[in-house]
Amino acid sequence: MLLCRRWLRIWAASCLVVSCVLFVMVGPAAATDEQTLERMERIIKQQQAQIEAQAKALEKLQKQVEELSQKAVQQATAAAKEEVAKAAVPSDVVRNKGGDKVSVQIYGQVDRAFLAADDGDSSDYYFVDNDNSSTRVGLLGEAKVNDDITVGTRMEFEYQSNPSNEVNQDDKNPGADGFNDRWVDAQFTSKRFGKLYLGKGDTASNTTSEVDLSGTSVVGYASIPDMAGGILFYDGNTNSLSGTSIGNVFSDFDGLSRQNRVRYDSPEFWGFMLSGSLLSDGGDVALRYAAKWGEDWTFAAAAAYADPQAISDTVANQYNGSASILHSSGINLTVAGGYQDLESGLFNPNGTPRNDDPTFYYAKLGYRAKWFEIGETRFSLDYEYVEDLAQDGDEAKTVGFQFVQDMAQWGTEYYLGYRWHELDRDLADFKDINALMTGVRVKF
Amino acid sequence: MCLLIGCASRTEPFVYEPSNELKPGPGIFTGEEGAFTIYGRPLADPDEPGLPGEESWVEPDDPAAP
Repeated sequence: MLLCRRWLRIWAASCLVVSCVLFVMVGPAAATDEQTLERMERIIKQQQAQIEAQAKALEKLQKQVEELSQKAVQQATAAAKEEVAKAAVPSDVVRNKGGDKVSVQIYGQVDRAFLAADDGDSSDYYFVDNDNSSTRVGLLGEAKVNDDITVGTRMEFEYQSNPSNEVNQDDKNPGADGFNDRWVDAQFTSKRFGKLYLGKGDTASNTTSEVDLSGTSVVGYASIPDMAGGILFYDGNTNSLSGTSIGNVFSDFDGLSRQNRVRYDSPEFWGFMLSGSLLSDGGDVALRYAAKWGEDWTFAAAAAYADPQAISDTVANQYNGSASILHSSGINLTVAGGYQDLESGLFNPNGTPRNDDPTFYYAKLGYRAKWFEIGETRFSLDYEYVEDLAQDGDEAKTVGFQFVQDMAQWGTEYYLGYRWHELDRDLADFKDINALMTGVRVKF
Repeated sequence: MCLLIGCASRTEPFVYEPSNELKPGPGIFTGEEGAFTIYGRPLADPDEPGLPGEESWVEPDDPAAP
């Protein structure tokens, strides 16, 4: 028992000692953990604050980067657009910023028709390009140097598949002879001093036989061969086609046409304009006039003299002119005439010397009015007489009727024309030729 | 008779348009201008000479010109 009490006292003491030791150990450690926790908590809070600040800074940097990127993209796009604009022409009509003094234009028309011709023996029909006003395309350029002077260029080409003045009974489809140059011209215009042309284009005397206010020239006017000039007369004596065509015996002596030349037009003075042109050989002069007289009358006229040695071996001199007057009622009258002075030493086909000089006379009576909203309606009746053109003694007559319906908002005209042709020639019995043309002219 | 009418009436400038050249008036694609302007300003300006077929026999800046 005593031993048990002794071991019990020893065990209790040991427990007490161990507990004290443990107390001593645990007591300060518990205190340390709390401080550590507090310290860690402070550290964590500090780190949280740092992370938030960094996040804000990062967000700010991201925004800056985005802004810079957008700016760079915009600048690059603008630069690219500028390069594209320099290199290409936009699809819409372009007006260059500096282009108020410069202009380039393209224009043109298509003019196709059905032609029927009866030569007194047989009838034929053809699909043609109307030579009265052929299918064409042109390029017109102009640059204003100052208030007075303008420099320009003009290029115009016609393309005719089956020209109406070339088809005939033996060749119904002559096709197209490629593009024919009508104008290839440099032009210098001064409001004070007039206009100078250098290149190929109208001579001064071109169109001086063709002044016409009827509005029906697209299907009939003084130049008779334009409609069916290739059709051959049928000779009743030989019962065969002759070698004489409408174009051989009809002409309006319309100056020197279009040639390579230098030409000058004076400024307009009281409605008049004087012109002259010089070719490689020969030349011409012309005087034109156009004016409105009062409220009711419109008048236009032209006259010319030509020395055609550059284009003809048989004609020494040529004189021609035309005039047209239009009343406000729509009634209009056109007249034209001309005379050729032939070279000496010429002979007729039968070997006799030529003594007679060719002459032509033309007259047209017309009427035009706006009956329909779509455009003006025009009628005319004309007559032409030509003598001694192909040979002495020839008398060629023609009567024609023209109808044109304009459809202005469509840039189109419908037309119908009829023409009777008669040729009286010694020792021949030519049958009359009747021709009918109908078609449309469409302007670009 | 024409001379009498001309002398008796007040005269105004007139631009003659030959209808057997390029069709006068607007075009089906080009509208009132009658031509495609591919560079610069249109030529068919009221104060300037017009397109081919519309050769002006009138001073370009004449108010009576079309």
